[in-house]
Amino acid sequence: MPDTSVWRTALRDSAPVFFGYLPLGMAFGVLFAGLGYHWLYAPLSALVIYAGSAQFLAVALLGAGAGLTEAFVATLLLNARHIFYGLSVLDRYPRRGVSKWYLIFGLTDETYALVTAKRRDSQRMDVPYYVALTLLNHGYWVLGCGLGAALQHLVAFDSSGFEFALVALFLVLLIEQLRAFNQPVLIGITTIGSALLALVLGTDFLLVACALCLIVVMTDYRRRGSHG
Amino acid sequence: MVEWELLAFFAVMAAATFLTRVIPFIAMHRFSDHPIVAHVGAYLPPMLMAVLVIYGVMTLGQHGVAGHGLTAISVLVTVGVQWWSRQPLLSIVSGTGLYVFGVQGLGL
Repeated sequence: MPDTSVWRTALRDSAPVFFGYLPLGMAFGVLFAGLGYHWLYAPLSALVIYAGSAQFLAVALLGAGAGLTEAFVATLLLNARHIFYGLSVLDRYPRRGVSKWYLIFGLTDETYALVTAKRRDSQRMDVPYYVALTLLNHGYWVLGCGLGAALQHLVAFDSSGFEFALVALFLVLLIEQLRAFNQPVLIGITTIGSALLALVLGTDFLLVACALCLIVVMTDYRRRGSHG
Repeated sequence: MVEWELLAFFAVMAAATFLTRVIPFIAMHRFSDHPIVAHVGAYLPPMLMAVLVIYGVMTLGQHGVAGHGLTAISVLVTVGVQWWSRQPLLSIVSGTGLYVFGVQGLGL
């Protein structure tokens, strides 16, 4: 079990995720409650699916009376970007054990961002921190979804605008990666390229951009290899 | 009453989501010591972070000059505060606070 200092660090680092997941989860909870099911199913979906965009899609699919095959395929396509996250934490995550499977289960955009921002120590030191981060983020999401669905009529709190916390988190981590990694040209080109792709493709650009990044990284690896 | 159809729906979506997260770990199982894994692990995350920034900005769903202006200023404030202070919470609270003020206070 991770000791208290690991939890304290994870709590501090995951605070922006709390401020992002809570309003986003509540928005999902309110939408879900509109379908007429018992409110407890909202936090249950957060607990077992744990993918924000897929859960919002679920509300739309359930509302439209879609079938299970449709739900499976749509979720695969929507979450396909996760494949690229796994590829870049292969050597950070443990090779076996319960923690390995839980960490893989909990690899959301935000958890991925925080995990890869960690300065690497020994795996023995890092894994408890990853587990604490993943548990906390998962907890925030379940809490948000539950609160939204349970309090849908009572919620007077206006949370609009708080979704910026997740953008700010990605920005902060990008700047810190830029400092640690020292490849400003590569990061600059990736940012501008992504923005241009996004203008053309809309939010669908995400998967294309992830794949392009991987191709660039692999090509670079081969080029270095052929020059010794 | 237990809603079995809803539970089946959740199970299917949970399985599909987990599949997208576990595929690389299964596919690359035998290659986890290969140097390309370390190379990808070093270079891909900062690039994907740039992609996620753009994705995040898009999902804000802002329209018009005022909306885009608010987004741009909030992004610049977050970046500026982080650059000078190196305190993530301070940067995130400043940028988000400004954005929330713009959305709720000014109706942008």
